[in-house]
Amino acid sequence: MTPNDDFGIGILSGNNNLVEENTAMGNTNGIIVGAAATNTRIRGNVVMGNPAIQVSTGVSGSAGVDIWNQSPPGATTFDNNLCTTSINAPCPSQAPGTVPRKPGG
Amino acid sequence: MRALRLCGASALVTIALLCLTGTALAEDISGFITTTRTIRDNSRLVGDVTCTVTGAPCITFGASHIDLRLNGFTITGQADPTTACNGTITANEHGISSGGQSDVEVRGPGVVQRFRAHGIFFTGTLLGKVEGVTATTNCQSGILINPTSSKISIGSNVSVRNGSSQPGASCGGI
Repeated sequence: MTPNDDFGIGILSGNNNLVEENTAMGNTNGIIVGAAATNTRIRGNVVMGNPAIQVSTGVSGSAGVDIWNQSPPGATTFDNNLCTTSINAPCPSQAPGTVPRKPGG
Repeated sequence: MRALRLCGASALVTIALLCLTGTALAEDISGFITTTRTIRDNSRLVGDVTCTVTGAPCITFGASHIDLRLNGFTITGQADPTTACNGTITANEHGISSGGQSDVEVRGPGVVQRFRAHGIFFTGTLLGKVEGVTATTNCQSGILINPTSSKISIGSNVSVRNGSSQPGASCGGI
């Protein structure tokens, strides 16, 4: 099953883009990094519940993930994001200490 | 002495006029937008905005090195508040487009919602920022950085209930 192509935050291509400390929830996909994107940094984001449970269980053929990395290995760096589902991206364990927080937060 | 006072007064008036001119360069935006609003100076919302532009962006950047401040207000498109586009995307009907300009910024806090394409769309832009914006119930993406855009920073935004529930089509997250 191929995930849908719309999302909360998308970096389709380009160089040196930064996605930092965002929250993406209830979108068809949370964050997508396109195949042609290079030197993209994804860090400190909370990306959960993509797609929303109503969509993921109620729409036939619908699929999506929290983070979907289509770029080649090494082209994108992931650091301290919180997610539960992903393709080619890490979703570290969700212990409270792993939840990204803003400085002073 | 009197001449000096007159001189001082004239200088103050001149400075005040210059300040007023500087303020006038910024665009204040609110109310209804029926055709694409192209901003060429630093701009800000001074009230909520309702967009009825069809098949084109609501607000687009028309110059480089400027920013758009949402200033705590909301930009609303034509999608349904509950179902968003409900399966029908209207191409290019974005909330805010970078318009191919460079070094442009969209700054929150503020909401970009119910657009039948992307909420915020960066294309052909070198250097830019989207910060502190909530993008919700847009038919395609909340925030999309298209090919040919580089050095874009997407920080501290909230993106909720954007996208499709059908492959390549309808709205998701609902």
